[in-house]
Amino acid sequence: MGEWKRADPTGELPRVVTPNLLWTGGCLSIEYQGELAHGHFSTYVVRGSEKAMLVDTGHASHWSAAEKHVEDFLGDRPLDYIFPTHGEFPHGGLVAHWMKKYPNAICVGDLPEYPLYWPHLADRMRQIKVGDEIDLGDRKMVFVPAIWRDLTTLWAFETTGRVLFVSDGFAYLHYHKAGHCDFMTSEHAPPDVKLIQFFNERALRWTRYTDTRETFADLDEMLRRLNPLMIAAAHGGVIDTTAEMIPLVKDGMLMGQSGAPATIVKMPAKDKAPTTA
Amino acid sequence: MNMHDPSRPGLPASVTEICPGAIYSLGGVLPADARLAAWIPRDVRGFIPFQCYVLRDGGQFLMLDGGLPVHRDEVRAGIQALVGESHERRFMMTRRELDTIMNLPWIAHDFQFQTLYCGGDLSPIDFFEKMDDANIDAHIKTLVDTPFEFLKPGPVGKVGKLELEMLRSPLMVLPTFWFYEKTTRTLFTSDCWGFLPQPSSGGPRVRTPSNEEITGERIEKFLSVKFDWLASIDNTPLSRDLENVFDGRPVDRICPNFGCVIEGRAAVDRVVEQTLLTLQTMAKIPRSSTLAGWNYQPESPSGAGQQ
Repeated sequence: MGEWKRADPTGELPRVVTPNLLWTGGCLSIEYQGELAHGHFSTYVVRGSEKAMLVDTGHASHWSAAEKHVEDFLGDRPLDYIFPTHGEFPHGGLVAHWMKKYPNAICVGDLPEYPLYWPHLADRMRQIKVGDEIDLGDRKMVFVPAIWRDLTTLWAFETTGRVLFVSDGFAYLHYHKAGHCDFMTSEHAPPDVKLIQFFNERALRWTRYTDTRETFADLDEMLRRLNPLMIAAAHGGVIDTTAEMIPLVKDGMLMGQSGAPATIVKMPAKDKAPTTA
Repeated sequence: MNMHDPSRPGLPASVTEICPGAIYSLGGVLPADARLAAWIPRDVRGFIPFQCYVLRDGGQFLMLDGGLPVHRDEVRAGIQALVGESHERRFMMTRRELDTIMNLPWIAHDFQFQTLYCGGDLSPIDFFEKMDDANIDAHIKTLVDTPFEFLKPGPVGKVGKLELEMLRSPLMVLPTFWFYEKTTRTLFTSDCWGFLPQPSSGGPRVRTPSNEEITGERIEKFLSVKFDWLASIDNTPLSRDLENVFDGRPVDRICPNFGCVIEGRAAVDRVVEQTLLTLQTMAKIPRSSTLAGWNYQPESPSGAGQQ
């Protein structure tokens, strides 16, 4: 331990973030205001000493690349668990692909409806809930509440590397150009808060209609308890500068500042986020 | 008038004729058990129909969504029974979620659909919508070979004498579109208002519920499953959007993806009225902590961490 050194970014995924954490998937690019902009659709693999878990199944257009990346990362080991954080296509749409490739892998998640989508795989699906843990050997995956989400979602905490997997949370679109896809937050300029807001207003629709500061107490409490070293989002770079990024991400949850047509007027400032029941 | 005619011969059990010769539901029925927890309150009893819809007239055939994979055989039998010699076959999706488009690849391939349509471009200046459209475009093109187009809200063309309009859903989690058929006054509401179970596995799948079955309490329980974000927010704009859907559009029946078809103008009016009241009620619910009941404490939260 301590000898391993993370390689510099290559500009493209995959990236081996730690010896036991692979970041793969890819970005989708679109032209926006004359510039090419990217958005991440990330997939992660946590490799414990005994078992390995995939976090989110990834975007269909990245399948062939991600399949190879995971294969290379695991070497002669199988993938044991597939964990879609929720049932949206980029997160859980490729379950059958991964289960076919790894025929002994078990799909875990808060996804009671999944047997209706893949009836032939129903006996390899396990329903899990907040508080459950899966032992990977030298580390555990602990399933924690998703504070920011759309569909029913689980976040997860990897206990040894102290990585918090946050699905649609902590997302940021970034004017990163091709060649910046595997940058961690310590390796690029802070993301534009307006683009974080843009994402949240659309991806997390409820944020348009409420004062999201009411969720900050929960976030602060979770971060206090878990004290993650890294935060791994599905739609943003891996956050390894948590102290610097969290205020930005919170700002990105505030509405009415993005330049988009806000649906309601922003609520008046409060001295303190309300304590929730 | 209740246009449902279950006695119409020649159709498989998986097909229900909603409006004679024009609108049909295709699908199967599931007991209200834990597998449905993403959509249905846990205390619901009975059987829940899951369906997609077919509109056909004048040699044109249009499917709205594709049903659940677990009902693949039922959906296939329904298409086979209804597709006939139709010369124009189109598929539109109300949402881009697994329960609406997982069957799409084999439907498009086996029944030679000419074009697939998805609602998109919610706001032309919206970066995220463009990204989301790019996302679904890449997904669909990976899954299906059939040409794929985005539709904007508004009139989306005719199916024979039927006239279909696409509407932004006021109640959604992910991008969702409702469809209104003008001549039969039918509103297709995707994942909304699927709160009416079948009393038995054999049906009926089209019901005119009593007032006691359309209560605010029932609608709130239903909305609190998938649309739980409606609680503790200022949903005045959503109520306004919902009223706008029904403004100038008389609706005689509501056709959701799951739950029985709600038949009859009076029942529809009560559903809307009770939903508007429910939105007000939900707005007043105190926000609860997402962490309630979560007691996890890591063994060494302040440790340096290992790789």
